[in-house]
Amino acid sequence: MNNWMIKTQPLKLLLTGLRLTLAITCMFHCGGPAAAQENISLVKANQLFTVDGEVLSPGQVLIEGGRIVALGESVEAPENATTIEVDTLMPGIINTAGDTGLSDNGAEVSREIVPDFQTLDAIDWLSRDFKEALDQGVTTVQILPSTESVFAGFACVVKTAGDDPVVTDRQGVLLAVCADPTSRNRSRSRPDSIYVRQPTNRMGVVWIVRRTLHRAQQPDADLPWTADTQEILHGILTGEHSVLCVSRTDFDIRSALKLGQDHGFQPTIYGGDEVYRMMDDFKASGARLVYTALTTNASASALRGSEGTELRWNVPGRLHSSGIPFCLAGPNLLDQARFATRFGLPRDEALKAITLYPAQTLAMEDQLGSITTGKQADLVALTGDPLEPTSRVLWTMVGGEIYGN
Amino acid sequence: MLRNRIEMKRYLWLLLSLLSPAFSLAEGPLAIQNAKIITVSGQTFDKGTVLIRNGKIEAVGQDVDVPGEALIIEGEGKVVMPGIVDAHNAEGMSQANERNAVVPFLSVVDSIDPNASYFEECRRNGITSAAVVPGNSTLIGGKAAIVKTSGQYVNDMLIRADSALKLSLRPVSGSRMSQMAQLRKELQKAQDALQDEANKEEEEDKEEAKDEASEEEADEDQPAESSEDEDEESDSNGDKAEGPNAENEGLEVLKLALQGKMPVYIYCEYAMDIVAAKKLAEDFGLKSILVLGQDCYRAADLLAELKQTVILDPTLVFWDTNPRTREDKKVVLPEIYQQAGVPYIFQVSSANSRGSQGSSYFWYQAATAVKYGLSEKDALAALTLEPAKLLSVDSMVGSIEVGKDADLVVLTGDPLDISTWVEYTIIGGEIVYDRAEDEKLERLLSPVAE
Repeated sequence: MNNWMIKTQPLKLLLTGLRLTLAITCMFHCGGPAAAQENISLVKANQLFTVDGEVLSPGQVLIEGGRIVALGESVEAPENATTIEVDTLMPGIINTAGDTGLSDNGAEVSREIVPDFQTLDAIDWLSRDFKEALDQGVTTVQILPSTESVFAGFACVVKTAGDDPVVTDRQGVLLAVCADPTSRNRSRSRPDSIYVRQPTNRMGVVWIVRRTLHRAQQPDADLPWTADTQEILHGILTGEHSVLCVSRTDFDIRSALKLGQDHGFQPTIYGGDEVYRMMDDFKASGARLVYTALTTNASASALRGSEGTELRWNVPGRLHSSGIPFCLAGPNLLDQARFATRFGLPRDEALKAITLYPAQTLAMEDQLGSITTGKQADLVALTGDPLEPTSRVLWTMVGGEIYGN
Repeated sequence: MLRNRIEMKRYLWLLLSLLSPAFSLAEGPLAIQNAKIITVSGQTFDKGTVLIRNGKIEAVGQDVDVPGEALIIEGEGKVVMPGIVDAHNAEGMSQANERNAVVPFLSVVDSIDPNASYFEECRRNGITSAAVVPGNSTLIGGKAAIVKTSGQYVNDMLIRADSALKLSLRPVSGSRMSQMAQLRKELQKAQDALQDEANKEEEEDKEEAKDEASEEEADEDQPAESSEDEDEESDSNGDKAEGPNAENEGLEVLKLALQGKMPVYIYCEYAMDIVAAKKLAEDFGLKSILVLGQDCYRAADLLAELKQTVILDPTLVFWDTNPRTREDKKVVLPEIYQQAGVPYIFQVSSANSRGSQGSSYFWYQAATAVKYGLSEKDALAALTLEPAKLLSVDSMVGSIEVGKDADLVVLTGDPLDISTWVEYTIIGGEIVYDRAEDEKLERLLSPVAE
């Protein structure tokens, strides 16, 4: 989180008037090319989905220094601005449960407690995943560690393009409160195998979380982990690090919420396939949900887990009417939003569920998630209504730079 | 109100049909009024009527006289299109492929389960005709059948049994070389058998010519020949443990394929298979229907030369990385085939294959093609009339034309819109799906904790 603040501070000031001086500072600070920062462009759209406000048709947005500086039905642009005309414009899509660029599946199989691991260290920046993400209009991704260790490590947040893509290396610690960590471990095997260890069942998963957090409160004990790990675990208890819990079945979600209550943290639930069984209790907990159950791709089967929960189509619609804060996440987010509307989520909510709400989940809604003056210029241009399957992404803009066709 | 009217009429029909066994629901006229009617074969009526009688389309157009006794579906704001035709699927039966890889004598008719969830999904999604075809994990997989997607028993559903034969060029086990060699061997056997028959006939013709004066003798030839055949069959019965006549029956099927009397589905996994499929078809005179894997787009130019409609892989858009240059490429199949001038139709992925959410729906496949440049008109034809033509059932189904089977779908809006649902599916003039009564759909849309 700290990194994020430092990086964005000069950009924020840039808007308050000290443009020239700070533009130079920013250039040094961000290391970005001068062109990207000085580019002024005006995008004119037949319809512009701001997402947090009304739909402008027509709508225009002025972009300078990678930020949105003006917005309206008609905007006055300086003479040197490049004008781009498109049919439809919406904010960049944010995926809060991605594996973009992860060079392997991110699973640490030798130990269950590795909160000091960081997915940022495993990203292949030349991976095709980034091209695919841009092609689908995704501009920001939170990259989750695999769920095969109970304390699985830090998720990071990155932009899908640009010279300085890392937003934060330590967005939060991921806890796998689900059946996944038990998948490799065996109670009977060769005694020297690394797979002879807990947990082999779900009781073991919860026990490991409790025992680990309990030991983290006893600094003098002889601990089986490094000082760095101890510090992170402490950070979970003090609220310095946010907690992401991957839980899909209703009892796993309940366990995760209970663990949070007992140890003084508020987890964000990732997965949530069976949340429809416990809407009222979930609402009462005040937790946020990152719903990944609309994912059907074989490549993302990890998101659906091994519990074999049945896909229930209109859970997003019911989450909305229950007033539970949630967002959609996983691959093919435009399609997920499309099917969410088909199955009962209002259209404007479906767009928010892949832009503004994930930005709120990341606590970055002051920077991302809608077309609003002052926010980063992350935009997606389409050939028509984003929620129609016949509409195609024309290009994706990240920090004022256009990628794709 | 409108629904009530339909309900009431339906009960009336039910009552009438109970009173008189000869009087069934299908026989009463049914009219869909004031709907947008996409005929596919001809014009689209913005506000038209379709009149159905005896399971057939009796009239369609702007001004159609609706008889007083007709059951009426008020179509204001609705869209009517022909039922979708699924040209290639291996569902609706218990097992897509036999373990034995050479089984031309098998027929899917013996395996089709009218209660399979596949058929229920078909009706829910407006698919009214489907070709059930043995799967791709085979060499000579058996005979396909074309069915309507509604019926109590398979015989109620059949449009055409033994509609085509299935071949696959993807090796079941071993190498591609051995797959092709075995395939050629089997086809060659049938070719030789045909040749023998031709030779025999020729000889007989010669003899006939010699003995033209005495017609009685020629007549005696016929029974003699058939008894010879029987002898052969009983011989093979004695040799084979496989069952009665399996080999001979298989041979007969292959002969039909070689004579062009039975079309042949050929599954091509890679672009290289297109070359092989083309040669097979040429060498053995096969009337081929090509079922393409993702990779086949690399042979788009060769496919264009064939000038025949191909069936695309369910995954229409994917990414490819060149292993040597590491160059990434987005592959859009409809775009590539359209540019190459290859006519195509769609397949959907099976419900348990975990494809993308959309690829299991025909409307979504069509929308994807439209997204990349196909006209909406052509996209709808690719769901209905084009597959019907490919299967040679276009005289019965595939468009809304007078005289064709009354297989229609009433939609809540335009076919390719994300929020459009099937309101009614009508097969042979009967309403086989009514969304208002679809409890399963309602449950899926409103999950209740159980």
